Amino acid sequence: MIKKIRFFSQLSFFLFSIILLIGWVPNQHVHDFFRSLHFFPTLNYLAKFIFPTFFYITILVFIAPLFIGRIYCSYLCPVGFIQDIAFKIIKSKKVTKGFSSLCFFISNFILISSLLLIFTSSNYQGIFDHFTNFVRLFSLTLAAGVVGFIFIFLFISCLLIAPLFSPRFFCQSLCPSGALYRILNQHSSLDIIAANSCNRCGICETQCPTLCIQDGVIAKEACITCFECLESCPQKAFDIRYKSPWKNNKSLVNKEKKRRDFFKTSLLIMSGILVFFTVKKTSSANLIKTNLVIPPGAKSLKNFYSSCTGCNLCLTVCPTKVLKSGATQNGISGINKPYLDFNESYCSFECNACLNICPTGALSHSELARKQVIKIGESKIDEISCIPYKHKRICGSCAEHCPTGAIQMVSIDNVLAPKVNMNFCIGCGICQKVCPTNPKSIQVIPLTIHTYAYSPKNNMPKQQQISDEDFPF
Amino acid sequence: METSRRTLLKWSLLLTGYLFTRPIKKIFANTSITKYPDLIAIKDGSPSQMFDVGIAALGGMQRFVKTGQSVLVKPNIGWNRTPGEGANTQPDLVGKIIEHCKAAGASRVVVFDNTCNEMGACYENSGIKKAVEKAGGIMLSSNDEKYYVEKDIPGGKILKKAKVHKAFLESDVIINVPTLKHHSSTKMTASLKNFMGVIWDRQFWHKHGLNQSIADFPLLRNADLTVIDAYLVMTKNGPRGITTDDVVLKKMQLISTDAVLADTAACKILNLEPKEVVYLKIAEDFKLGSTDIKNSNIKKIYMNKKA
Repeated sequence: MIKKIRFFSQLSFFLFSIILLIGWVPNQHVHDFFRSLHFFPTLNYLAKFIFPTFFYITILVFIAPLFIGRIYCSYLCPVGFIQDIAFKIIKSKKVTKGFSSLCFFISNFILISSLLLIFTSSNYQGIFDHFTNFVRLFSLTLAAGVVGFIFIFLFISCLLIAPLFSPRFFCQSLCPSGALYRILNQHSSLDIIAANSCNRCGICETQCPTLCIQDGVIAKEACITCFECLESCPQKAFDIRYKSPWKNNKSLVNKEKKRRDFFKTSLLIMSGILVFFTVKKTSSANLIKTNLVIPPGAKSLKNFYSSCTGCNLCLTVCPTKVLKSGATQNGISGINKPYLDFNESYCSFECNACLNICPTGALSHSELARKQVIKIGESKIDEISCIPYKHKRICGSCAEHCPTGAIQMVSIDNVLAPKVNMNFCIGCGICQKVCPTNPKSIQVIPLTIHTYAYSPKNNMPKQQQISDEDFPF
Repeated sequence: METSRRTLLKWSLLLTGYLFTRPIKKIFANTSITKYPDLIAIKDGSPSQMFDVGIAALGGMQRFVKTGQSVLVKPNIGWNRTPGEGANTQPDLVGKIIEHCKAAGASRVVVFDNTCNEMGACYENSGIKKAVEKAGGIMLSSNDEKYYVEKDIPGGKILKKAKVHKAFLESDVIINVPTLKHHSSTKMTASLKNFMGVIWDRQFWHKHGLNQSIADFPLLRNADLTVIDAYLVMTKNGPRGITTDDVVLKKMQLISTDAVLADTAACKILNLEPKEVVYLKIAEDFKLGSTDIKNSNIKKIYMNKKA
C-alpha cells in the first residue's frame, strides 16, 4: 500500500511539473508555488533580503525533514521519480561503503559551495541542483547550444545510467538540495528501528529503493524515509520512534567516529571558504566588460549572475525568442545564463513575461509600465554604413519600428536620416533586428548596469499634422 | 376618328413591348449605364456604418465579388497595439467588409498581414482576429517563409522579384484596407505602402529604395478595391505611434477602385502635397492610377449632417 501511495504521489507531481514547465499553465501563482517547494531557487531571493510569495511554504519544506524525514525526496521529487523508475529496471547491486561515503563528501562539498557562492557574482548551484536541471530539460530541448546539450546529456545519464552502480546516484552525490535534506534527516526526530523480532531475513534489503539497509540497520545518511521497509518486512519488525531533533542516540555515539566527523566537517568548511574566495576574486574580473545584452529586470550584470542559476525558464515564455542560452562568451560564470540576441529577434515592448516567471529573482518582478523604461542598452548608429548617410536615400526601418520614439528621422543633406535620442532609448533591439544592412548599421551597446530611460510620454511634442477641413480635396 | 382592330392590336403590342423592356432597363441601370464615382469620401460615422453607406454608393459589394470567388482582405495589423491607438485598421471595419463579401457570395474570405511585431500578439491585441472569426473569415499565418512564393514583378525598376504570400496570388479579389498614418520616412502610409505586408523580405525595400519599391510592387497585382480607414488618424510618430496623443479622431473613410487616387486624397487629409509623397508620382507614371484629384469624380457623403 505504501509503495502504491508513493508511486502515485510521485507520478502525479511528475505530471504536474511537466504540465507546468511545458507551458500549459501560464498562471504565475502556480509557478510561484512550484518554485516555493524548492529550497535553492528561493534561497537566491533570501540572499538579497527579498521575501518572495509563498515564502512560508519554503520554510515548511525546509523544517519538515527534522520531523518527518526526506518526504520531498521520496514522495514528490520528479528527478527522484525518474531515478526510482530507472533503478527498478536496472537494479544495481549492493553499494560499497567507501563509495557511498565518498558520494556524501562530494555532495556536502557541493552544498557548502552552493550556499557560499550565492554571495559572489557567479552562481554555480545551477550546475548541480535538481530544480534547475529539471527545468532545463524542458526549456533547453528546443534551443540548446553545444554547452546546453552537454549539460542535459550529463544530467540524463546521471539519472538513467548511474543507477547501474548506485541507486539515486544524483540525489546522494550531486544534488545540493539532497545533501541539505540528508543532513537535516540525520538529525531528525524520526527513527526507523528494527525491533527484536527481526530475524535478518534480508527481504527489506532488496526492497529498499536506496539499498540503505544492512542486517536490519538503516543507514540514516542514505535513507530517504520512504517507509517502504515498514511494509516489506514479513515480521513487521520495523518501528517508528520519535525523539527530539538534533539529539543523538547515546548508545550509537562512538568517540572515534565523532573525531573523524569533526575533521571531515572542518575540511569541508575550509575548502568551501577557499572556493568562495577564489571565485570571488576571479569572477569579478569578467564583469567589467561584456558584449552581451542581459534581460530587463536584471539590474546589473553582477546582480544577475549572482542569482541566475541558468534554468532558462525565461526562454520558454519569451514570445519573440530573443533570449538565448549563453555558452562561454562571458566566461564560465555566464554558462547557460540567458542573453538577448538582437540579430535574430528583439525584446517585445509589450511583454514582461521573463521578469514574472524567473524562479530565482535574478530578474526582479516589474509591472509592464516599469519594464518599458528599463534601459538594457543603447543603440548606436554607424554613420558610415547607414543607408541614408551613405547612399543619400531614405530607409528609416529603425525609426518606424522604434517603440519609444528614441529614433527620429531628421533631415541631413535633404535626406531623412535616423538619429538616436539616448534619453528615450531602452535598448530593446528592434532597430538592430530590422536594419537591412549587413553588418548592421545600428547596434545595441549593452549596459553592465541597467538604468531607467525617460518615459516615452515625455518625448518631444511635435506639431499635429492634419487638415482641419472636412474634405480637404 | 375610327379605331380599327388593326390599330388597337398595334397599340396593345407596342404597350406590352414597352412594359417588357422596363425590367431590362432596370438591370442595365445597375451595371453599365450608371457611371460610378472615382472616389467615395464619407465622414462622421463609425467605421462600419461608413462602409455600409460607401459601398452602396459604389454599387454594392456584388460589383466586386461574384458568387464563389475567394477574397483577400488585407488590413494593416503591423503592430502589437490596441484599436484605440490607431496603429492598425479598425477591427469592426474589417469585420464589416467580410460580412459584405460573404453576403455577395464569396466562397472564402482570408485575412493576413506580415506583421512588424510578433504575429500572434498583433492579431490578438489589434482585435482583428476576433472580428474576422466572428464575421466568418479566416486568419492566415504569415510568420514563416514557407507561406511565401517567389514571383517576378513585370516592369519593376528595383523590385524585380519578391517573395509574395500565397493567399495574395491565389485569391480572386483583393480588398486593401489600410489605415491612414504618418510615416517617418515616406511621410504617409496608406494603401500602396500597405502592400509591404504581403511580402516576406521587407528589409529589401528599405535597403534598395523604399519609394521606388512601393510603386513597383502593385505592378504585380493591384487591389480591386481600396478602403482607407481614416477613423483614427496617426498624425505624428508614425507608423507605430508612441502614445494616444499621436492620433486624432477624424472619422473618415475613403473608398475607391483607384489606390493611387485614394492615397492622394489621404495625403491631403494629412496636410501633405501629393508631390511630397514621392511614391505617388512614380505610381502614376506606371499608370497604376491617377493623382489628379481636381478632375476626379468624388462623392462626398456626410453621415450625420449638422444642422
